[in-house]
Amino acid sequence: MASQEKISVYNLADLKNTSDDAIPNYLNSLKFQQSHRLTDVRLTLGFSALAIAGACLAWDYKFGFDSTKYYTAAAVALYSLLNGALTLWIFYVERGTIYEGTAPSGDKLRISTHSKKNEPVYNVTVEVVGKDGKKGETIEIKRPFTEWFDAAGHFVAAPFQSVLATGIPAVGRADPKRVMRADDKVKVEVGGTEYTPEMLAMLASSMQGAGVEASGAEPKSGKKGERRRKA
Amino acid sequence: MLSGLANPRQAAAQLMNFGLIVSTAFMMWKGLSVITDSPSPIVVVLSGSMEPAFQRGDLLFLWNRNILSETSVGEIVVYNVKDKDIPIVHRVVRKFGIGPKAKLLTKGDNNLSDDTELYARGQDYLVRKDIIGSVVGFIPFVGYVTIMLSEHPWLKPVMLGMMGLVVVLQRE
Repeated sequence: MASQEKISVYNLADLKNTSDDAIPNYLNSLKFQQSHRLTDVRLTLGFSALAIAGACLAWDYKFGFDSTKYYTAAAVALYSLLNGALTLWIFYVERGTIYEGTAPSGDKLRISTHSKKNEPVYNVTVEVVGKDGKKGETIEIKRPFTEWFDAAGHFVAAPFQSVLATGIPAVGRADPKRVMRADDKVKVEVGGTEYTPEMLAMLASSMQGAGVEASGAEPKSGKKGERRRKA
Repeated sequence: MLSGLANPRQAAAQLMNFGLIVSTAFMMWKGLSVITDSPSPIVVVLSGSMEPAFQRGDLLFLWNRNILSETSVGEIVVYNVKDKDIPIVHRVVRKFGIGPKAKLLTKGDNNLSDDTELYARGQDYLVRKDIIGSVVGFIPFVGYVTIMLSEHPWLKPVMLGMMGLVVVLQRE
């Protein structure tokens, strides 16, 4: 199922943000309990700073500068503190986290993502804490965005969900039909006939003709080369 | 992008980002105000009365604390005429007495006569309290934007709206 929205496949920020938005949607649809702790603290810090700025504007407008300048000085100091705290929070505590939640099985997940400049690769880091509080493993998933965005820029949910379900055991347990095992092959259907990868490979090599002989000749020359090397 | 607004927390976060940009600019202005002890630490020259030193549109930086010495003759000061909101940038040409009650007379370099006619009815001299700062630095021509904004007030909401749109639609 592809979404109606198209994004530019050359805009790394759009690719990453669309994928970041898809993760909470997917996990919450699997009945994960999302924890909004990080967002709530960030919003509290930010809006408190805004409230102080608003108050400062109000008393400055109503009473003028001279009579309120000590309050304004205090407000500026407090605002800088809150803004600094917000920046520290975003940088050190959130650290790129886009989802925090509990799986139906009881495991706690913390997912953070990043992508390096000019590299269309989605890096997902998942920290798992088991139900009993024992720290689980930290899973790193690195996949190019091409696996779930088509050439036009539509986000395709199924392969994205497979990547997550296969890579993260807690998600795989909640959504077993998306877990791809090693022997799963992608099947292509054209004009009513299903082609397996083996059939496609044979078709491709028969179209090349000489390619079949070349692939047959390679092992022989390889062996010759080995003999030469030994001599 | 815009569909993300369906999620209330995300909408709040976007709103907060925009608000923080505006409020940071405001608080930086207020901070500068508090440090310089001037209600308006940066002013734009509105007239040509101080030519050739300052032209219309120059940006002036003010300092309103007398830490080392009192405001003296020869300093370029900015003052508001009583009950008017227009800052006037002129030079102090006479000083009678010392301390906060000293009487100061100002005159624009490019004017023929001193500012006695500009002062409020019955006011012949300025006192230190009327002055909102002495000029300590300037950048030429940059302030012309402010003059345009005040002469064409419809520009203000247009500019703010454009900035807001850019921030909300970008999530980098």
